[in-house]
Amino acid sequence: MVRFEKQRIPPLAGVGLKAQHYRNIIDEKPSLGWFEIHPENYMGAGGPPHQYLTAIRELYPLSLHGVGMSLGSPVKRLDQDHLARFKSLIKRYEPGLISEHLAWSTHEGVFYNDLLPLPYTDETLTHVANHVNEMQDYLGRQVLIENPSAYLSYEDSPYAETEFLDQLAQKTGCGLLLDVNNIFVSANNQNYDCYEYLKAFPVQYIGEIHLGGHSEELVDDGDAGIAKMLIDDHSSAVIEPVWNIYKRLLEKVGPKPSLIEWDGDIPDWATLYNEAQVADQFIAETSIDKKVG
Amino acid sequence: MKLITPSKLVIAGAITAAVSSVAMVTPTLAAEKEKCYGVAKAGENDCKAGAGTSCQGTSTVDFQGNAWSFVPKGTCESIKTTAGTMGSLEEIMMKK
Amino acid sequence: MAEFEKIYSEFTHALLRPKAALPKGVIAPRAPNIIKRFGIYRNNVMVSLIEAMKSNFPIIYALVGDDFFTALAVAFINKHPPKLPMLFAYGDEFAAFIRLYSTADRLPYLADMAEVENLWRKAYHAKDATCIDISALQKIDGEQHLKLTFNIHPAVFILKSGWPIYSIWLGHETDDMGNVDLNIAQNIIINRPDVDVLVMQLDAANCAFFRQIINGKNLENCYNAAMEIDASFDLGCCLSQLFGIGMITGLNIN
Repeated sequence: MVRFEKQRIPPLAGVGLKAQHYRNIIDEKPSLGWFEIHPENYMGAGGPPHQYLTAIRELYPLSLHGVGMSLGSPVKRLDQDHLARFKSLIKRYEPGLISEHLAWSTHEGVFYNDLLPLPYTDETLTHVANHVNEMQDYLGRQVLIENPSAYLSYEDSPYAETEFLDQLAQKTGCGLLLDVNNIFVSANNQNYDCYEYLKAFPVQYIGEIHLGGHSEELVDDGDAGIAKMLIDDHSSAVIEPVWNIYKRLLEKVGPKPSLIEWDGDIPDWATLYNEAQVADQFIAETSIDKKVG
Repeated sequence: MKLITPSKLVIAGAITAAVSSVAMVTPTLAAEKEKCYGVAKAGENDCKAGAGTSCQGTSTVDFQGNAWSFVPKGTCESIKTTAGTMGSLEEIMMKK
Repeated sequence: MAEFEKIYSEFTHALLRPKAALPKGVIAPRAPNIIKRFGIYRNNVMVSLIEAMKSNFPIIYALVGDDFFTALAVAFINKHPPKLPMLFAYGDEFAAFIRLYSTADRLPYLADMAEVENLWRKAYHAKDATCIDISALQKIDGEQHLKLTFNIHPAVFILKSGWPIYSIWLGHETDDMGNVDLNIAQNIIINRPDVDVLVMQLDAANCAFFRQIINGKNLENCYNAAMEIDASFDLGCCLSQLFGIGMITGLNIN
């Protein structure tokens, strides 16, 4: 088996790897900073997924972005089998970054395949911090934690999300992954201002940024009228207001690894690559501004 | 000394035949290399929200009637018995 | 018990049950229609799992069509929600589920086809291994032939069926179900020696031989098992196929 050296993720645009694009990437070897995968899709023992991923890892740095660890679960310990599978992928591919979500997805032994929201309380903070510590200790690596997109919140949730993530980073030494589209989606759905959220976000912990598309849906709120809900479906291009938040963020934190996520209605490789180039353009402009300033 | 069983002679001959005819075509196995199945044909994890809308969500979950009361409308419709009709329950039961 | 554990139990109870009461304490600021908003989560869970089932069982999906498959998948998801966070591994119980619920049905072969698709996926994701060439047999001393056992590639699976599973599989691949004869029974062997998954038909004697091989029996036992079924069984031909389709990764004398 090929042995890889750990390779840092550069502060450039990357793309979420889709099976549909394996051949384009291997054949065309496009100029791109890095790729990201969901480790859950590569937790089989062998076969084409690993053969393709190995070929792509030979060409690019790789980031692992987990969706199944369920860090927000009330359990005492994380799923040890899942941790072991995760660790063996780290050994195999030596990723530059590892990340997970501030969410839960497994409860009482059932995996619900969605990133479900948690209340932000002292109790959940302690639990999530323990889980992040456990994950980092087990993997022997720092983990970045991503802000979720949400459609509901909890009555009893005294912490603001930004404050909760700040506390989590302080308690565990984890980094943060800021999904700009998730800010936009949650802010709309929960009636707050994106830029206020950004102002409150502990940006010093950011190790990676996510960008993606969302869709709109109208909800009849009766006497309160028709409300516009945003659904984080990653099925379209990044819209301008989200690019604008991204630009503001880059001004604050400088160039960071920035991922384009496109998971539904997956476009051809050229379209996806073009999105990454837009992000790279903003990153390049930020670098120049920083140098001039 | 061990007795030489007939099957041993047969096996020795078969191995000789097999090794010396590596390029033999496979008459009994009907080996057919499948057409490319496509690497994407497996359930994939992602962190997107489900395609569609919340109202579809509720109606989808509502879709809990007895599945077997639906009429299958797919390629199974072109599977015929030798008599040229859909397999009747009686035939099927006799077969099993 | 953690305070939020109770909330999660209510949350998940409501996720898969569209008529269940919403979990206590969930809110959406300035938005009265909480049910619609919770419906987004219900939708995410159910639609994504249905999609996973469609991806994992493309033949069943094509056979029965969208409406039937969706109804079947919803019933299955409610009965057997995923235990593992890897969707490619979801659906192992689907064949048994179909069998249990379709005892008197028009599609008696459906459960076996679901099993074909399960095995196909297992072969696809199985551990990689290097096959050995048939010439390795030449190096074995003739006195040892009867005691020969074989190491089998981890991607090899055999399925015996009372239905024409190979013809249906081939019909799906070629978009032509016209040649399927429901009066015949077929067995298949699946393997993935390298990148491509191979699906092949096995006659009864070869099937018996291959099953004994997989069970670790020595060549004498395998041969006798095949001969019991068909006295005209051709061992030489069978052995060349065994190696030809990349089933063998090593030899032992037992």
